[in-house]
Amino acid sequence: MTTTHRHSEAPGFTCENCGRTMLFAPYCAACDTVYPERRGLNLFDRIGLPRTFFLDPDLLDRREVEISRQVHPDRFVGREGRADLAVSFQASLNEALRVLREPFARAEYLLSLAPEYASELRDSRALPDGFLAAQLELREELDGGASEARVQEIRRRARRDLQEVEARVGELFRLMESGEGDPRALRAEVRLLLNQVKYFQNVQRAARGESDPRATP
Amino acid sequence: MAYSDKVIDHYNNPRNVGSFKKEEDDVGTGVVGAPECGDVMKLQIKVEGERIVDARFKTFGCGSAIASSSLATEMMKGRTLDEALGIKNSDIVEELSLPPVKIHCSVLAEDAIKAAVADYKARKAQQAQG
Repeated sequence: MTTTHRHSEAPGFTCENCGRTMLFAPYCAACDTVYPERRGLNLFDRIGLPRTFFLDPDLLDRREVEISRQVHPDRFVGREGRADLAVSFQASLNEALRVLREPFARAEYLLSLAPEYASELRDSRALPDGFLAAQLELREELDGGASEARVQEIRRRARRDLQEVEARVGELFRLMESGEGDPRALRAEVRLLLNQVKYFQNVQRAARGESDPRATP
Repeated sequence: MAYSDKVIDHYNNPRNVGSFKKEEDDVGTGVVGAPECGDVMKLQIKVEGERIVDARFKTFGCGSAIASSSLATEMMKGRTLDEALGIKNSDIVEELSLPPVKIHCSVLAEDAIKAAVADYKARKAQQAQG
């Protein structure tokens, strides 16, 4: 199934061994059956969530608690080779939570799941006209001793830009998930918006006086 | 992440940091960016005849991006425009011993070189037209 709906139920998995519904696709905690091939599943399916931009944060929190309990290392004590399994399950769970919790990462990931993505957008570095020059100017301003008032103005602006991007990305996914509009055009606009996110975040960080954590060797 | 000594050297002592006035007739400016990290790189060249006589850069980004653009300005100086276009990101990777995850920084520097030369040529063409 390639289309998703806002309120669709999670696909979920049924354990082939015991028939119970599994929250964490690679492992049935009820009967201790491992499904190694499912570790590579897409992140939504992996932790039994619907493939949608509109994930309920509380549901994510609950899923984290439930699955963490199911794959807790204590459950595997004394079983040969199982300690490594517990670690890899936890890593696999953490990866899914990290990406799906953060709206921009989730949007990026959803975009990458579209079958057309590789040919259409993967290499797109599209930005609005004049965007880079404007960002450069802001960074130079922050670097060149802008007044405190101006710094705060820049910081607030970057924050607002990020909020606007998030709102618009949500709106675009709402259209996509309800089957409205041209999906190709909608994806392109999401891509264009997501391409700006890191710049806004960097400006925001610079305006807060935080150095870029990646800048110092 | 471990940076090579050459990256650290360029990071601590960046060559040719700064700006030329981009309106000047003999200046070409390239501004490029990498959406995946939000880095911005400005590279400028000063040209006499067909030869690049000076270069400047300003990069807001990671250590490797700074080092890549610093090295790019050094490599460009003294070259003709066409020779500068021959600089490949792999030359930068090799010189700085960049690890695979930082190769995109060298690509950015190569893009900046091309953008600066293209800007200069476009401005010249415009001036020639009157």
